Amino acid sequence: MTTLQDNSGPLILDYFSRRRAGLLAELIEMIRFDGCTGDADLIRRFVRHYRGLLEDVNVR
Amino acid sequence: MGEIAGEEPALALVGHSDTVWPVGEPERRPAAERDGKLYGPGAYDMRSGLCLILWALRYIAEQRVPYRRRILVFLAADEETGSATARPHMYRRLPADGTALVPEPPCPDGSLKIERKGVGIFRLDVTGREAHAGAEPERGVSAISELARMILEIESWADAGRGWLVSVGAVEGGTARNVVPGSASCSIDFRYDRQEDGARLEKKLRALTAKNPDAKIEVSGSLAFPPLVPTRRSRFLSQRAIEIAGDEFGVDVSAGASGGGSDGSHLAARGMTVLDGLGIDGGGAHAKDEHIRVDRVPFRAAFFTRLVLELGEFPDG
Repeated sequence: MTTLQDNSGPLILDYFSRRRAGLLAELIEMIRFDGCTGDADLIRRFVRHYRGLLEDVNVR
Repeated sequence: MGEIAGEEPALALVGHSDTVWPVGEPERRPAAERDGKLYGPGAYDMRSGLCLILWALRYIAEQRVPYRRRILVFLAADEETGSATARPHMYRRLPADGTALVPEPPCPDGSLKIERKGVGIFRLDVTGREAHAGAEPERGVSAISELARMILEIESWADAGRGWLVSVGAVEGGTARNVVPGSASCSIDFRYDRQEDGARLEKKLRALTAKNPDAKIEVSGSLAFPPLVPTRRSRFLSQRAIEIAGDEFGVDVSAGASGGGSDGSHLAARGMTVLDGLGIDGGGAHAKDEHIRVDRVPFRAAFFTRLVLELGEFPDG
């Protein structure tokens, strides 16, 4: 476990820079998700899809 | 709405999952990387911003950062049309005295947004009377003629000195070439710096009258987004963010203003401290060349995450 102070900008930047390809893949997947506006089914599908990425999050 | 348990006051991470594009657009125009840019519907506004939220939370989880503060993630699904359905939930769930980070697109030069214009979204419907355009035009009342006159009047309200922007963005009317048009309508967009200016524009719109007494007009819509007005706390927060960008990342970031509304504007009007425009650099919002800059992805991910961590120590409180 780190402290909050351990997580300086350069350390965080290094973390994300090393994952650049994965970040791009996730961006493409996020853009590929089709629509959300005003459609409850689409919104539910969106939440179901992304809640898996945040296991500790209580989504409603 | 997502929530990670922790101490109050909560930190809100706010975005929207809808885009301006119709269903089917990502299939017609899939995400594509070209010349260092990632294109696609919603790439800039603001699917990439949603990724920033996910990545920041994942960083905290993976790195086991001892984050004490409660985090609320709120995603609207109708922000592009004014957040009418999201707003009541937003007001109920997010603390009015809290702080919100909003990874909407930054200004074109990469600046953070601490100031936004308010947005009024209206529709004007004119009803006339149809008639044969050649046989008995005198029986008709042209809704298009009435609407055309009103559009010129509405557009004359634009006033750069007062910060008033007025746009009639879409017009429709009539049924056929040889029919006096019995109906016509247009959509109207107002932008303003002060809420009272929005109210003035709305009052002028609702006071419009038809020249022909047989024509009827109906105004619908509302002041959809209040202006985002900087506060002492939002200026403090943006200044700290600018210092972090410069000192820890070597990147010059400044604070700027935008003509577009966002949910950040609603939250600030409720009293929250809002730092907006934290998304990934790019361009072409609401246009087919919408894109983000691939080279800025790691920096923006790290910068947003760093700000979330910074606020874990409650310097805004």
